[in-house]
Amino acid sequence: MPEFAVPLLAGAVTLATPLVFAAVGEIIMEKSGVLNIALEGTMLVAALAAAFVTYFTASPAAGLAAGVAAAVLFGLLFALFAVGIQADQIVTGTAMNIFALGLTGVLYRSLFGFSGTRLAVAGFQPWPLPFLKDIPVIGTVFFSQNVLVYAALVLTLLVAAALKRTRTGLYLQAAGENPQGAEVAGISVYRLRLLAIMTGSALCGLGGVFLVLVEGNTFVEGMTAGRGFIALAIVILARWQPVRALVVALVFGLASALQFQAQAIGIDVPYQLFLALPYVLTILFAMLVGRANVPAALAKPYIKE
Amino acid sequence: MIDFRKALLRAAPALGRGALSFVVALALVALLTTWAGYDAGVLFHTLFAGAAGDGYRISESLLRSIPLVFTGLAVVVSFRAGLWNIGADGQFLAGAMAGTFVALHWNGMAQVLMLPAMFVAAWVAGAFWGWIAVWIRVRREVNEVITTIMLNLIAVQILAWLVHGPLQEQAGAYPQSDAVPAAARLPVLFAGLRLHAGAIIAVVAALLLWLLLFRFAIGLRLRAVGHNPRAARFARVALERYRILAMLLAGALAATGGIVEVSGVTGRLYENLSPGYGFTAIAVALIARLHPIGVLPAAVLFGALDTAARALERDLGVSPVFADIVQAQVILIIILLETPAIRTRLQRALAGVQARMPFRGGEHA
Amino acid sequence: MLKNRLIHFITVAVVFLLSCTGAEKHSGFKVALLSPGPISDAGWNASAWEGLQRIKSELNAHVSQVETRVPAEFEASFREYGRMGYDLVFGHGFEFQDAAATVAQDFPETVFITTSGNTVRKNVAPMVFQLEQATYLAGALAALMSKTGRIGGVGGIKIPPVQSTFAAFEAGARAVRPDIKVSFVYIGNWENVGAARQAALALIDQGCDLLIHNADAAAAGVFQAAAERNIYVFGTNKDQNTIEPEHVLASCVSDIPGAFVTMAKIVRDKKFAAKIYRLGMRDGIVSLVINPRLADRIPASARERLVSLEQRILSGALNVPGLP
Repeated sequence: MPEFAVPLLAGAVTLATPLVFAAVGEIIMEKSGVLNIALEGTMLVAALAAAFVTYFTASPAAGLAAGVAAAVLFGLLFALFAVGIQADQIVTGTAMNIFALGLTGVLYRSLFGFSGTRLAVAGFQPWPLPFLKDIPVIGTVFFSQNVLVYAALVLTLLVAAALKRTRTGLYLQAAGENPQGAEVAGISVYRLRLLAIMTGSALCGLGGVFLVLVEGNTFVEGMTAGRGFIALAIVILARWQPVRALVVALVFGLASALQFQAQAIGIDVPYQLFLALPYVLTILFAMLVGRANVPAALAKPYIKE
Repeated sequence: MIDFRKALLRAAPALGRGALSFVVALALVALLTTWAGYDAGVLFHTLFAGAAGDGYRISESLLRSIPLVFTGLAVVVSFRAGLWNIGADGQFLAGAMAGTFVALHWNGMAQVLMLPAMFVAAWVAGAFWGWIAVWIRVRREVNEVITTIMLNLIAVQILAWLVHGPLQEQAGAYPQSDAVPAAARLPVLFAGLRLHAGAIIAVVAALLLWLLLFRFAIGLRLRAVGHNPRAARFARVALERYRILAMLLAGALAATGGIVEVSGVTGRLYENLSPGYGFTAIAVALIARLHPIGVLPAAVLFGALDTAARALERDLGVSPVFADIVQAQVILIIILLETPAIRTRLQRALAGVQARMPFRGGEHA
Repeated sequence: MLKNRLIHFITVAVVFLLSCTGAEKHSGFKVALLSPGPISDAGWNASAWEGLQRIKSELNAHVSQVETRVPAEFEASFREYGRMGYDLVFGHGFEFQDAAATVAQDFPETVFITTSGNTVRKNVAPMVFQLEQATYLAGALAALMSKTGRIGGVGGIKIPPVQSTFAAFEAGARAVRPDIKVSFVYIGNWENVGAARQAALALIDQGCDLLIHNADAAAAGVFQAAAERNIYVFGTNKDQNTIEPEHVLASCVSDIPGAFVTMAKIVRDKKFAAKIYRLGMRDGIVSLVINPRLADRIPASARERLVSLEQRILSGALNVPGLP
């Protein structure tokens, strides 16, 4: 294997991690029939909360907890509309994205906007896993990363297993495929969708936390830079399967790592077209392959008879 | 023959609810800003003076509402057909790019034809951008929500690439296109003010869409497709055809907004031509209760909000993100006002309208 | 530590709230700023905001600022300030040139300054920072310090002001070491910290052991990568030496706040002339500021070389290529 491949792959893993969190979180929500397009907003809110709390406590762990908590609260607000009053999920999601952009902007500016200083926080350090890190190639690529990367791997496998093998997982899918039928069978669709939104938002929040505590050790307005939308694309390409989402995210991560590498070697790539790549692939995929595994009741508000 | 008065009266309560949600959102923000230490009186004075203090500012507020009318109409026509088109932003940009391209490559042909050609190019591009999503929906059964979002992001990157590459100014310095020739510019309406003929086009577009949706059988069927697809299919309405039609219309409408913005205001292509008009358009369409005529006052509200937000920042130092928060709140409050489910309510409202408009022969289920 | 931060937070919040209330007394001299992005970016826009605040305190002027998000707003905001009788309005970027030229005709009493650009009218002038002089020196320093013979840079969007600073960086490096390899990576925006980090890592993986950036807020990712891989980086625009004190070797500073004050004084004293205002090392606006904590890591020979280059730039003997 050429020597540049290993850092390239390691880079792909880092770039993929926030996407994996958000995409897997979205899969949980969509499986239950909830289309939450406010991933971008959720990540942004989580990122700001993580940055602020880490700044004041100097503890990344506390920042992580705060980020996840903020994401769950944001998810609850979404659930209040999407589940609580059966509002249209897409319109709600659009509003939530705009809201998150405004809210994080106002909060960040009122604390740091006029100070001229950068909000610098302590982040997570790499934490190579004993023994595993010594495996050639894979050891460096996957097991010399930080704790959040491992969490993404483990959580993806857990979610995949939980959706397939646990009762809650199956009920969740029932709520997304045939809510009326599920309700008849004694499953509370509302409760399951609420649960799905909270878990999904928490995962998505981890993606936002990753941006702050691993990639930048700071908060920047709009730092999610479209990752929430790439995650939506990944869900389609992965056909609602967590492990596939992981693979697709890695492919996207690899594509952008390659793009940077190409520029670094001196190849002049029109980077704008590279930035559009995930979206173009999704459109092409949708054109060629089309409907597959879409939860039947996706984005349809469930109204109890 | 066409009773505008009656139509307006019918739409009045719905528009009233829309306006109410806007007022509630502003009041909420006022509460928050007062709590943050601002004087609510000064705040509101600045807000209103900034948006409509004199002729110039009224002109500016109207100017800012023009792109919102077009994108708002695009949202209305697609939502009416049951398509959740989040892609007005991309369609707006597609129109701007195609129209500018034509204007910049217009070599020596009749100058009077330039503007019409730009509009046609914009329509084709916008309709094509909408068609991709609806084709995938109809033929591949993939929900248009995600595809329209993707198409937005692709359009943004194509625009970035164009102004750094093929359409970059001849001087090659900055990421912007050359200025379009004078014949490609829409005239201003009043000397000294920026308000341009695009405002008239916007009003005409709203009227035409209203006629189409509420006074022609084609519009009736289009709405039926959105409001009850199953019944529409029973009535042998070709669902696919109307969905495609709605999306082509939506694309062309949003694209008109794009070319009007270049032709009437900026004169060039820039990277950040749209601050997310397509998203604000959803708020506009909801406030208008998906009524084409309602889009006009709703768009003006948001255009005024933009000018007001700028005045607040200028005079009081309030963050410009303030406008985002108001926008988001307006949407959420409208949804709350429409509890229980917005869609069932909408359906009932649509049913009410249709009850008053008997089906014509051959269209009965 | 927590306590200190809380105190800092409270102070900032109080200052913020105080600054928002009431009208202060001022001299009657009115200055405004149109910023193309949020003033919380700790970079390009923040510097302009700082300049505006200094004009307020040093010249006792009345100041105002708006963030313009779309081209449609440029002209509108210029015009509003013209109507309100402002003496001086800054448009902080090349993109404000057209709008400034259009509006300026109607407000002959107001001076419009764009930061960078080349449009000159009776009351419109660009203020151009010769940051290239500093990046040229940084390039030379990088080449002198590099062990691998490779250096690089991470840019935001490929626009002329970024490309020219990078071109000067490369020229400076080549001047002292003709065989040096220099490469640059653009990420396509100013916010994506993660992408900037990965771009920097890609350069480091290619063997670069000194990096420069011109990526505004996203540069946080470049500093992060430098700290992770233990290499040196250069800060840009502002003095960024304290962000990663062990890794930021020096900063290419253009004293944007200082330039704002200088321009404001020129306009206040009615000395404005319609020309391109070039502000560089000789005006004390541009400089390469070595991080004092790392100064002893620079070998004496390199330091001498740097000083002589600096002298030649100051005396005018050396013309930095790509200078606007």
